[in-house]
Amino acid sequence: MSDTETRHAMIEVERVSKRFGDLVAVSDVSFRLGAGVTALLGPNGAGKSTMLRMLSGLAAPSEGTVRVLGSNPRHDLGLRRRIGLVPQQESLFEHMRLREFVRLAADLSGTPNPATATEQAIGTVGLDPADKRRLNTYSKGMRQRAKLAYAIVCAPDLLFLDEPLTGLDPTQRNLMIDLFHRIGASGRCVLVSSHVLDEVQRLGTDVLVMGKGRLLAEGDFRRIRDLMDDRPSRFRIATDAPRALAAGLIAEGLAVGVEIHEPSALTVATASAGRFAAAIAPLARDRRASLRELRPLDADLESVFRYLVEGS
Amino acid sequence: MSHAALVFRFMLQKLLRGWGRIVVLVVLAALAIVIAVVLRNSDDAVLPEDGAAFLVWFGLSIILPFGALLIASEAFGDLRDERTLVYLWLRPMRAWSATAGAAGAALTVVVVLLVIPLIVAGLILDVDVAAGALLAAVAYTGVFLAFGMILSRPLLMGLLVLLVWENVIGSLSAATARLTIRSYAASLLVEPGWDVGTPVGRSFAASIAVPLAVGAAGLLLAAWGWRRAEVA
Repeated sequence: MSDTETRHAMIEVERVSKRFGDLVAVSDVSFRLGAGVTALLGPNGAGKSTMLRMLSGLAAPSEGTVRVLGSNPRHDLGLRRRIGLVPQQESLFEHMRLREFVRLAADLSGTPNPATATEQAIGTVGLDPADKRRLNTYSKGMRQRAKLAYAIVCAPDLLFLDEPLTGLDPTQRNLMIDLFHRIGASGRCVLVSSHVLDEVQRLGTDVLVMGKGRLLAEGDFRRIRDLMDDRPSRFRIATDAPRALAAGLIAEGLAVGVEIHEPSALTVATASAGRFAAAIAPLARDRRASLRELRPLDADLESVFRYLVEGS
Repeated sequence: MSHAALVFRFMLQKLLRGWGRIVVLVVLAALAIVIAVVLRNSDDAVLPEDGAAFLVWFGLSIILPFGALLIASEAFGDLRDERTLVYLWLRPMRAWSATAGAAGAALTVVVVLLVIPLIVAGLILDVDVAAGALLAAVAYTGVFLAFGMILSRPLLMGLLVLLVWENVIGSLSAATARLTIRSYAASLLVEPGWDVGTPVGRSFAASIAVPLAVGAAGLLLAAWGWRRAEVA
C-alpha cells in the first residue's frame, strides 16, 4: 500500500471475526475507510454494533486485525482521544447534569479549554449548556444528543455513531445529519450505523452493508446496484407507443421482460442497465415513440439492501 | 486535574447518590454507636474486653465487610450493569488511574460512613479500633472493587466470600483464620489473653502488611480487569 493510500485509509479492517462462544457476531470482514460520512447498514443482529465496538477498541477481534489511524485501538491509549463513540444504549451518568457530563469527557480527554469546548459541543447538538436538570430527566432524543455532545467535545478524528438518530424528531434528524456531513467534510471519518434505509439514504451514498455478521457490500450503493449482474434492473417508461417500444426492446435484446401498462407506459426488466440507457433514445426514435419519462425502479438503496440481505 | 482525581470525584458523586445503600450503612453505623453506649452503661459489662468482642463481631465481621461490599462492588459493577462504563473506558486514561480513583472514592465513603462511627464506638468502649478498621476497609474495598470489575454478579459473589470464607472457614481453626482479613484486623485491637470470639494473635507487622497487600492485590486485579474488559 502506498503512502497516499495509508494516509487516506483512516480505518483498516483485515479479515476480522468476532465470536461470543458459539455465536459468530462478525465473520471475516475486511474494509478500509477514509474521511467522510459512511453508513454502516444492516438489519438488527447483523454485527454492526460489534464492529463499531471493535473499531473503538472496546472489544478485541477473535481473529484478524483492526487498525485505526495506523494503531491498534484496543491498546493505543492516545488513540482514544481521537475517537468519539455514540453507543447504542440510552443509559447515561444519570446523576449528572448535561454540562458536568460533557465536561467530564473534555477533562478526561485533555481537551484544551475544556469549559469552552463543553459549551460548544452542547450548543452544536442543539441543547442548552445552562440546563440544570439531571440527565435522568432527559427524553430519548435529548439523551441521543447528550451522547453526541460527549463524543464530539474532544474534536475526534473519527466519530462512530451507533443508531444515533433513534428517538429524534424529523427536525433534530435533519440537524444531526447536517452535522455529520459537516464533520465528515472537515476531513474526519464518520461511520454511522443504522437499520433504517431512509436515514442511510440521507447520510450519503457510501455504505458498508452487513448481514449475518458478514460484509455484503461496500462503496457507493448506486455502483453496488450496477454490479448486481444476476438481477435485472427495472425501468418504467412513459410513452405514447408502449407496444411498439416493447417490441423493439425485445427485438434488440435489451429487455429480458416487459410489462405493458396501457395506454401509455411500460415496465422493462433489463440485464444491462448501461446498454439499455444508451440504446433507449435511438430505439424510441426508430419506432416513432416519444419518451415522456424514463425512471429506474430499483436503483435506490432499499432495493440494494433487500437484494443483499435477503440473498445473504 | 489528573485522571485519577477526575474519576475519584465522579465516582464519589455517583456512590453518594445511591441513597438506599447510604441509608442502610448509616443505620448500621448508628446502631454500632448506640450499642456501644448501651454496653458502656450496663452494669455487668467487663470493659474493654467485651467492647473489643462487640467491635470485632459487629464492626469487623458484619458492618465493615458488608458495607465495603455494598459500596466497592457497585463502583464499577453499577457502570457495567448500566452499560455506562464505555464513557470512562473510551477516554485516554490508564487502567491504574481509573481503578485508583474509584478505589479512593469507595474507600472514602466506607471510611466516612463506617470506619469513623466504629472509631467513635471504640472510644465509647475504650477500645482503639482505628487501625484495625481502617486496614480492614482497605482490604475489603480493594477486593470488592475488583469483584465489581471482573465478575458478572459481584454482590452475590462477595456475599458468598464473606459468609463462606470470612466466617465459616475463618472460624474452623486458628490455622484457617490466618486466611481471613478479619483475623488480621482484629489482632490490632485485642490485648493478649482477651477472648473476642474469633481466632486472633497475628503479629503486629502481619496485621498491617497483610490487609494492605490484599487491598493492593485487589487494585491490581481491578486494573487488570479494566484493561481486559470487553466493554458493552
